[in-house]
Amino acid sequence: MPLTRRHNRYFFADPNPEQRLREHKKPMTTMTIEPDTVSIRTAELQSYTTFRLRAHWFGVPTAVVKEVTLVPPLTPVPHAPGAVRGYVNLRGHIVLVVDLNFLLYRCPEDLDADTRLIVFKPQLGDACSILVQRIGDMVELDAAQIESYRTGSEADSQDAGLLPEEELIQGVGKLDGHLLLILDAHRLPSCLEQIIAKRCQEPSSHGNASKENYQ
Amino acid sequence: MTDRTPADPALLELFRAELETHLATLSSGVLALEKTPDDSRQLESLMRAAHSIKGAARIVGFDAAVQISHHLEDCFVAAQRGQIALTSDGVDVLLRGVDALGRLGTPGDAEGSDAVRIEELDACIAEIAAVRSGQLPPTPEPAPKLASEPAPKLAPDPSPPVASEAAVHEFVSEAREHLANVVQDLLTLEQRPGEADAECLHRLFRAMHSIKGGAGFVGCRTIEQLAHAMENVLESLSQTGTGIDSTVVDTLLAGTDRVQALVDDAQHSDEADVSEIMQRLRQCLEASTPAPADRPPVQAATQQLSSQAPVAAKGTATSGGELPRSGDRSASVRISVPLVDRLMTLAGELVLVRNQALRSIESGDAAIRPVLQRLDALTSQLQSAVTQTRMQPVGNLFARFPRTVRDMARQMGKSIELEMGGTEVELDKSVLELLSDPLTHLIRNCCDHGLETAEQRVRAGKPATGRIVLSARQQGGQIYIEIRDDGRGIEVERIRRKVVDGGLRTAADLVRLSDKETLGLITLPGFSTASEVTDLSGRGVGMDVVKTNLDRLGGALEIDSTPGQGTTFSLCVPLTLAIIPCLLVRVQDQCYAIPQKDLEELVCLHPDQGQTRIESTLEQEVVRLRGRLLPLVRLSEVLDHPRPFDVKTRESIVRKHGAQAATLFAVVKVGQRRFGLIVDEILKNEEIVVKPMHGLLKPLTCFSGATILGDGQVALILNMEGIVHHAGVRFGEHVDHIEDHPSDEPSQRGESAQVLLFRYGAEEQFAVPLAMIRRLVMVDPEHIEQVGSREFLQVDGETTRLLRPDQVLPVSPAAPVHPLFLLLPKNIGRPLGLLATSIIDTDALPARIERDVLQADGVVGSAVLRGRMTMLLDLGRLAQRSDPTDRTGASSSASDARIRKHRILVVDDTEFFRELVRGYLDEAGYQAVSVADGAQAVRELEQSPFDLVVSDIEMPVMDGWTLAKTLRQRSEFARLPLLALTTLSSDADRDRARTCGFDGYEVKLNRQQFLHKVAALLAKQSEAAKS
Repeated sequence: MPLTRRHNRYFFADPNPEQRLREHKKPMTTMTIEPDTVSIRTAELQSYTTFRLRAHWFGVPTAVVKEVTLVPPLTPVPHAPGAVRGYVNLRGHIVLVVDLNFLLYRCPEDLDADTRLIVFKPQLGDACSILVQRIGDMVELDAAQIESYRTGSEADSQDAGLLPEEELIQGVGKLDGHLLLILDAHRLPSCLEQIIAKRCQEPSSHGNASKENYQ
Repeated sequence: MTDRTPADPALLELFRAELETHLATLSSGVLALEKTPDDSRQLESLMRAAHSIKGAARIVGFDAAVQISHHLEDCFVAAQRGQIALTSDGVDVLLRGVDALGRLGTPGDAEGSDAVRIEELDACIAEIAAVRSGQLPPTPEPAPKLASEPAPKLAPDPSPPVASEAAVHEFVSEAREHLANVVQDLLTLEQRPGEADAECLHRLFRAMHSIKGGAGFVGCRTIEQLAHAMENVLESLSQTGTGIDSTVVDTLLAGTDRVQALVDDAQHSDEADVSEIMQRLRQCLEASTPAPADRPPVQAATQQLSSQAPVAAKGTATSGGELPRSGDRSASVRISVPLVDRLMTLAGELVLVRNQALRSIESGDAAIRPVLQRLDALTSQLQSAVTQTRMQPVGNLFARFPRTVRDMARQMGKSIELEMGGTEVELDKSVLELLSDPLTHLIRNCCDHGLETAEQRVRAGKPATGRIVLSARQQGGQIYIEIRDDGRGIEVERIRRKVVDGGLRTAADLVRLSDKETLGLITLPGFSTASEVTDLSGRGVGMDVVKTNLDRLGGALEIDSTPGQGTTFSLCVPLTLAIIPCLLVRVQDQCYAIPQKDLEELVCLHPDQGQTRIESTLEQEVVRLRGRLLPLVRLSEVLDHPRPFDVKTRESIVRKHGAQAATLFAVVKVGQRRFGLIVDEILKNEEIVVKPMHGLLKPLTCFSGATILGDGQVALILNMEGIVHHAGVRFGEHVDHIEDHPSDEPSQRGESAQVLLFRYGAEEQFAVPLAMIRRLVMVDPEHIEQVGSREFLQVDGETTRLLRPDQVLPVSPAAPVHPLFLLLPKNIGRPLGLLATSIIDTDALPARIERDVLQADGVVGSAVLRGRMTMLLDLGRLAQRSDPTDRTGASSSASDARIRKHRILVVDDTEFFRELVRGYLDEAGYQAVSVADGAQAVRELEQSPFDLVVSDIEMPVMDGWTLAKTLRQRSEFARLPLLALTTLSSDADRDRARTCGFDGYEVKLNRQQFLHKVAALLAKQSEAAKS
């Protein structure tokens, strides 16, 4: 059964897959592995979609990712907190774009040729996505490779101490050569909700965002 | 506890869907209560959810659910009033109640009849009642019982499977169809008691017989027995031909419900106990069988039939399908809603792809163009066809009400008749779903509060049977649903008292409200006129639910009531929620949509006027628009400030823009208030597909949703109420309602008071009442076609005759200019328009009109407007003069009139119309006298006799309605013909005119038609006088 289901089509809804393939020179085999096949092989192994933001590599569970795509033209939403970048039209669906860079580092993400949108599956609530500086590979980690963030942050305080929205970070995965901050995507809606409720005095980013529409 | 279970699978499904949504509210709300026990808004929404479940459960006959939700509701009300405090234990109990409700809604488990369930539910109800009465919550002893509840369900079924699953499935779906018809037929039978409708009975008999056969085939013995018993009763009824009364129908309905319940859970139907209903049916049979001698043939016949059961079942089912009332089922298939939604989305995406394709091909080669055009057309067709699939006849929703009304009538010992009309009108499914709650509440209200008991009705001189008329009709993009009863009506005084007593409004607030507005107050949360709370209604939640749901739909509710005669609820809802017409505007780089329903007009100030016309107080910019001060809101500032404006912000905005002239704004209405919304650019009108805002952005009140525009860009839909709030617009006494020079403006009252100012030649300025203009279009002189001396133009596919003022009036000609403007008059009857070279503005009609200065045919008079002499034109007269072959009824009526000069009184507050009408009448040979309002008219009539009164409706001092009523009450004027002549043109106004006593009704102003009507009324009057 799993073989006949082309799970990977979700990940190449991207209008220009060839280009993406060129960008990622590493073998793509990991990307075609279905979460449930993974769970059949070894119960502990989970797949993460990785992406880069500033100096860090992040990962979200692949199970909650619907697709990764180029950023369509953005429509800013006035009055929304700075972390809400606006709406995009994703093939007839209106999707909310969250600026993770702003959420974590209080600095709006610059849109360039590497910027991608990670769109989440409906299980996270209304259609929602995050802007990432560039997309990385998919990796598989087992639970033993992940340390809870609280303890991890003491050890790596120089790197991780910058993060203000600590609740979003679920843990730290140890990869060869670098660390992977595991994002708890399920907390994203509630985190945003708190921010909106607080109505913290942030300069709304919509004024400049409109000039950065990215094709 | 419950012998009635769902009537109809479709209903049941609706109920479950409703239950699910309300349950979600309940469980999350009750949980939240644990943290904040006195959050009154939370309690309010809980109360409403429980109330809605109660209503829905009653319709489908889940008594247990009714009771539980009733008790829950009681608890919430008590908590809200502070009578009880909800502890964690209390919340536990409430949650158990919610869970019990949830289980009742589980498919296949709906039947609350087996002993364990009843016990459990009773325990649950008792617990909740205990919480309500403020006692300590009982020990959670019943909890284990609840927890163990699913056990019997999971226990292995002792009986072997009755038949193959497919066969059972087939039987179930067939039986359901039969049962739906059975309920209908039973109700029909009841409406015609005594005379047994043979056809109807036969149909019932056949349906039951089919069910019996099918049940026997798949081995459901209990259903077979029950159906057989019912069949017997039906058979004996048709044999005897009498004895169908409500008791019998009750029993049969109960039996049907029982069969339905069994069918819903066919696999386990044999475990159910049906002895009680069998007993009732047996009694029924005995009662309807006069002599035992009649029985053997029946038995024999049925036995004979049942021996060929499986075959016969199929046979009868087919013949049942041929009956006209069953509709052409074969021509339709069931599609799941998610699939339809998906089709909608896909069609939407296809449209966007098409748009992109069309755009990219503009530079492409010619060969592919025809292909694309075809793609274009097909896509549009596909989209509209898919949209069509979401439409459902409103009859689907109405179908449940005959049963509701009947049950309520029985319960309250009233006699009620329900008449339904317009069931074929189609509505978007989502609208239909949202309408279900409000309509149910309104119907129940009619039965409970609206209609009196039979004795009361007879005493009041009304037929003993009360009537409720439920009708739907479509008009434009709106659906109008009317629920009318002929009951006791609503006393406005009583509402006033209740509202003040309940502290919902102060007495001072109420003074300013009209009767109709006061009636509208019954939709306030917490309002109830019922003196005691029953489980039927009276908690003041219902009407609130109606209002809330309608608001969500963007619909409106109007209530009209005459004490002693009845009440009418008129609902107006959009055809579909999905698509609304919007105006697209641009601010900075972004496009926003303003819903058309909020728009009043668009105003563009000329740069040279901008400075003089935008004024400001310290913190509010206003514009003087036709003498009224209109507050202004700058959309760009609203969007730039994430927080609601405070005084400082408002002051700084005024200072910032102080030197700068805004030129473009939309006049927007929010309820009764108006304000101007300044935008950078008006783009176009577009029908947009509304998508809700992302859940996280719901707190942003300035937007009501988002949409995808034709070019694929996302645009936000503005919410005017939110914007007013955000900008803190003050509609203070000195801002909104100030009139510049009140005495100079006799006529801010209606549209008839406005004139359009325009010019043709270099010199003269003309004016035409706005009420007489249908449209104003811009014309390219190159498109004008010449035929002989006449000029024509294509307007909306119609060849329209053009009139130039210098052709019909002694005025100066115009130099050729581009563009020209064309005024298309109303009520002329043929395509014709008057050309103008420039449009100046609209202005109030002047109070003084000079009639003698400029005398010309087609000119009513002249006045000074904007410092210039202005000619007031009579478009109808000009149109007539332009065509000498057009011989209107004037000459004939004139000759008739010459025999004896009829005296006609013209009542109109606008001098222009007064003179126009008087002119028409004079010219036709009548003797016309004119006065300015109803009071003057009465005085005039008292002094000298008149043959006819022509009256406007909207007038100061005494309006047309009152005039007609006043005259009809006085014997000397009781037979005087009254003709209403007004700009009001709705059906409701026509009806009202008739009730007030007008004999005729004419819309301003088609000269020919008007004169015909006058002649006809006078002729009728003289006939009547002769006889």
